[in-house]
Amino acid sequence: MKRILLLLLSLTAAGQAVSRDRLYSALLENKVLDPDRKVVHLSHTCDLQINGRRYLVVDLQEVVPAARSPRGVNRIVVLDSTFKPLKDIEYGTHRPLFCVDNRLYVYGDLAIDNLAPVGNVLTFSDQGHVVKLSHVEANEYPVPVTRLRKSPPQ
Amino acid sequence: MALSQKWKDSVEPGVTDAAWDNYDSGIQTEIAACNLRLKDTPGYKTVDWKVVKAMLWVESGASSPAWNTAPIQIGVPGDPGLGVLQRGDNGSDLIMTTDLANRVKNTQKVTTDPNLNIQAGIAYLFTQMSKSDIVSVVDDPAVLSYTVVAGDSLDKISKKLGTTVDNLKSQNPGAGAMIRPNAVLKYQKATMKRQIVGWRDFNVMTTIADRYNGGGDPDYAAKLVYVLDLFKKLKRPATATP
Repeated sequence: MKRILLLLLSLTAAGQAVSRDRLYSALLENKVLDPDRKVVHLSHTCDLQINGRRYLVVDLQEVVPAARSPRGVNRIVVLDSTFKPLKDIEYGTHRPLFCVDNRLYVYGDLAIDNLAPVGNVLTFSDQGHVVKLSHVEANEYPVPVTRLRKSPPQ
Repeated sequence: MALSQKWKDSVEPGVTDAAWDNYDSGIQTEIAACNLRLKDTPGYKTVDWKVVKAMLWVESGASSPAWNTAPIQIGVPGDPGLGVLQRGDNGSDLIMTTDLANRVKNTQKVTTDPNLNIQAGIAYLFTQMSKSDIVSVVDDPAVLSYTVVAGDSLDKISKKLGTTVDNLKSQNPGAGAMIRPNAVLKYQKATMKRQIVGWRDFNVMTTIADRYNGGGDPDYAAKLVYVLDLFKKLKRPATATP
């Protein structure tokens, strides 16, 4: 029964877009969401391809209710095809943009765990567990202009 | 982004009510201690304590009940900042004194003792404003020597001797070519450790908003700028004016 459920989940993940209901349930079940915060944004940004396997990149923004100014907790969450969270990367005013193979491009240079170096390209390996940062000029994002593409970025 | 009149009205009482200065001396003491302790770290510039006072006004203010318990709001339910300090994550162990690192472990105390809340908030702010990296740190300055044997590599040698590849390279320029049997390498006992390697600018309110507020309040930076400007209009006895 468990294997059938996992297969079904994998098939769902293989689709182009994953519903926010499905993402919300997965993040809740896996305790990625903090019950004391408010989820204000949740979306499936794109899919990474790491060693032939597909991984979902989720953009999650929560706010912490406070006395006068809510605090933000923004995260890029990488899920495997069974929706199991593999990596959780905090960001501030950045934003995950699009994936190319095993690379996720982000708006603005971010640091992981406040460690150098910073970068706007996150390259994943080891089944999504390892990530390295590098930088590319925004003018050189590796995506074609819209008139030259037939499908949205992955 | 324009700040609402409602929000401006909520901080205006601070111009005439001296209760909004209640934590000034505590903030000044803590910031002075940080300035002294961190002054020799790369790129450090003296931090103005009024930035933290402005944060208190934006986070709570004397007309808020939170002013008497958690004025800088670290540790409220759902806040990730206190957990960072409690685990020593993100380089916070390089910012806090041992005493503070021990005291922030008591969540209940951090959220009910306003002075501890401010100390914890300052520690989190400094953690978030610091830049750190894992670098080779010399544990003992004594320079030792080692004779290379067949099958050695810099990585193997560093593990064998309790030093780092970076130390071997710095002590032996061109070390790569010296990895041959009977070559003599210099080294010091060293380990790879997280160290502060730079600082973000405390004078840029958008950076503080990004790093401390995490982008939760889109007006956070504008509010800090507004409050810092408001400080010039405070009506206090001359000795109490910040």
